[in-house]
Amino acid sequence: MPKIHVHEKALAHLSRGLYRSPASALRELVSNGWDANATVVRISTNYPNFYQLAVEDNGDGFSAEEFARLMGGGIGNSEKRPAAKKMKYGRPIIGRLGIGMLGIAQICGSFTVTSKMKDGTGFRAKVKLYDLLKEKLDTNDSSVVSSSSDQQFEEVDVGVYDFEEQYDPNKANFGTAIVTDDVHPAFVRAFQLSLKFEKFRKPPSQWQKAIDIVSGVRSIQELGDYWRLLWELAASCPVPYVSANCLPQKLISDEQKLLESYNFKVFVDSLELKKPIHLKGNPAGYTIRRIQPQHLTPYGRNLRFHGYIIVQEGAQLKPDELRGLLIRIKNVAIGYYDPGMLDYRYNEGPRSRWLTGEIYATEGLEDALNIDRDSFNRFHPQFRAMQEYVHSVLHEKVFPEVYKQIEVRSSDRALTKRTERTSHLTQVLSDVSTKPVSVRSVTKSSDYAPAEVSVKRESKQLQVVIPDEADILTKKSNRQLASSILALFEVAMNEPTDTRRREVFRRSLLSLLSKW
Amino acid sequence: MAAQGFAFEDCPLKHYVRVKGWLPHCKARKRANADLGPSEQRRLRYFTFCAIGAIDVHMLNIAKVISLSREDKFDNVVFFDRETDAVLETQKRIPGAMGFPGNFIDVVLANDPAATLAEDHDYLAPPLDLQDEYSTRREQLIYGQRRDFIKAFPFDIVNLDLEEFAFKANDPFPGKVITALRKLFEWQKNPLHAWPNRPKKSVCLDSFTLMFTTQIGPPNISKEYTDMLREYLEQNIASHSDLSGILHERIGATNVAALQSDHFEDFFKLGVPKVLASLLLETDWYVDADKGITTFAFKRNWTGGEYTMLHFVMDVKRQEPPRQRRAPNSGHTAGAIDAYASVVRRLFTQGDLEVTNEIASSIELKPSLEEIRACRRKYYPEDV
Repeated sequence: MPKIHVHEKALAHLSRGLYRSPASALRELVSNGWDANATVVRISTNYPNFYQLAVEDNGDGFSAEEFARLMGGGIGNSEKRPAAKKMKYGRPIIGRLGIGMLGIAQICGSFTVTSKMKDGTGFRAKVKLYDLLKEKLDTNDSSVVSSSSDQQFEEVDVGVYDFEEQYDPNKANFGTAIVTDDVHPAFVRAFQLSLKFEKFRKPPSQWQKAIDIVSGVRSIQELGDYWRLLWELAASCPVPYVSANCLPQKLISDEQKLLESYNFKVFVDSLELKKPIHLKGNPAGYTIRRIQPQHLTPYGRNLRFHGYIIVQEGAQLKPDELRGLLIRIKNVAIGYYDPGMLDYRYNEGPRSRWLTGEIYATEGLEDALNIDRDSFNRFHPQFRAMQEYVHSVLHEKVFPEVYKQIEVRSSDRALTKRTERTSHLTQVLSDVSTKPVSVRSVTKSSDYAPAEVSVKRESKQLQVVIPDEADILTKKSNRQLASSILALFEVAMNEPTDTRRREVFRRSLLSLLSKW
Repeated sequence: MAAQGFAFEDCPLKHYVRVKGWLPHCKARKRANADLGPSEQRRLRYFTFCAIGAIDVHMLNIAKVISLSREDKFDNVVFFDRETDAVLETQKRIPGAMGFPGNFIDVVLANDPAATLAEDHDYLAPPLDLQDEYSTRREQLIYGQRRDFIKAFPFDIVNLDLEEFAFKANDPFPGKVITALRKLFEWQKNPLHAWPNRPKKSVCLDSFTLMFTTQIGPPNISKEYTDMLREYLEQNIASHSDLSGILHERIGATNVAALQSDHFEDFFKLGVPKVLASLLLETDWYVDADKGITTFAFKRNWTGGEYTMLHFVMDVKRQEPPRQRRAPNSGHTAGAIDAYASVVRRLFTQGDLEVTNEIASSIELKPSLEEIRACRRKYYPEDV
């Protein structure tokens, strides 16, 4: 049977439009640093000008030959780094050198790659990507598209590179650095403009303070693109949390231990990134559900995951971007928090804006990834299996508990309100009476007896007996008001003259309603 | 040309100039700011070509001349570096500083197509009539950088540590450096940036500290440049008859021509600060006569040979009233003209301080390079 080929142009297109945000492209370079056993990755943005961008790590580096192989057709090739590569600090390999490096092409047209390996050898190469590539591909421009020697397929070039002959590895740091030569003006402009946003705040020197700042806005976008970059990188990179106590009941303490053991730090402009979640002090508390380690085997393939779901009772999460569920594969986030909760089919109204959670996939799911590593094929069996499990937890455990909590809070609130109103009624009656007033309610003697108010004038106090609310035949929400008005009426009726009765009733009624 | 591969940061002679030349002037400026009323006090702004190590920035930080932001950032520091990746390296050591990648002169002198260079023109917006190509983007970025650089003015301390020739043989007269300086001094008149408690009205600088560094030369310096320097000096001698005697007594030259032919270095050391003082006068500033222009010189040996570095330090004041409030065609203020004459005389009488290894090692320089590096590591622990 004839074989089916994917056209080379498809990959060429991908080299310019794979990631949905700068953070997604940079995340891939951070992942490369992780795989290279780096302990530190530094991202520099040239803040506040943004005329440059660089990502560098202190990892193992790679050779000029490997670079040449990648540039000569290895980009996007499924051929990964050697499987035998030794990972340090117990890290799982993320494994995606290649298209990630070209991902930076979404931000700039040319860049410099410098790499120095532990044996002291290294290289520096300038990469220049062709302008107007998409147009050239569409028109089969011969400067980028040519036929192979056997005419079997078209070869597509996306740019050129050149090794710098004067590069001296002795003067270079160990690891890999990618520095942009010309950041696209659109990127520079967007980031510069975002510094003028009303709510923009200068980035602090500690991540905890950054969390305090983002927790004060409804959406990260109010703070602008620079903050979005910081937040998205913090959310997606395999860095630790601010502390093991950043979530109630030490929800992530095990995860934190693991992340800290990986000895991996990411800095953006000297600010060390930590995961951007820190929930504490919610007056109504939190509903928490741990997702214990699960082992499913759809189509016989292992799928292991665990995680947590937490609901901030009665209070919307801030920023909005924290809402929903975030899936991590080998500690790297796939996309960002999904407010749709993996296409959860029930409408939970505002309750869904109180919920956040993370699912850590430790095995499987990689095949369900789309090529951008930012999203899933939602019909992949492994994704479906996880989705079904998570939805069952949400529907059967989390939201029922949330509704129960709502009910408890509502009845607590109603009781408090009722007590406050009774106290207010007592105060109003005291104000119009010369004697102290006591108010009590009684249940009527029979179903046929009318709900009546009685007033007893005793020597030292005025005793007002009002019917139990349940006995007043009107709308439930109006019963306490009705009984209070009846009480006012009865007290007014005790006054000696019509004028006086009318005056007392009018005054007490207005006073009652003023704080109802 | 600058000495490629020379360990500038470790040079004790350079550090002597930093500590004994730059720092006292900068501290004095800080004191002057501290003496102002509460609403006028503000964090000083600093422009520099600091190089990756940012030694000068950390020195001023240690001396509390430039105070950091509440976020512990150097956001009142602006610098340029022609090595584009060096900018990001520098920013690691002075986080928050505004760094411009590229050639300072090219950016300053970029030929703005709008000619008027509206400060808020959106150079980075997508052009409607050009393709998204490298050349288009490059141009947008240079104009954008120029706009952003202009917006960063003014600075309380300007450190033009160029480490290269002020007069380049191939530059059309009066040279790109001179033209760029002229623009820079103009931009120094821009209104000050906002600061807490700032008075409501727009405020401009009335003085700043200027440090200027250049090499003596080049060997093939064009006649136009030497003629310019000679004419300046001859004008001075013509208007102050005693200067000729001072010149003879101090250097041994009977006239400017002899100075140029037999004592070129001294000719250069006298001529360049004169050019600076004249440029400042032309742009409505003047060199403060109290301290005049201090000149430090030292020789630097490297594999390419020996060359002489010159460092000039001066306090600069705005002519008062400023030009826009003076009568048309009224020339410079009397105060500025007197100060200029005094500064020139002092250049002739005072001479320069020749910094040698003996001088540099004879005293303990505070802060030392080690102290400065320790301070730097606070911001960039990987720095070794």
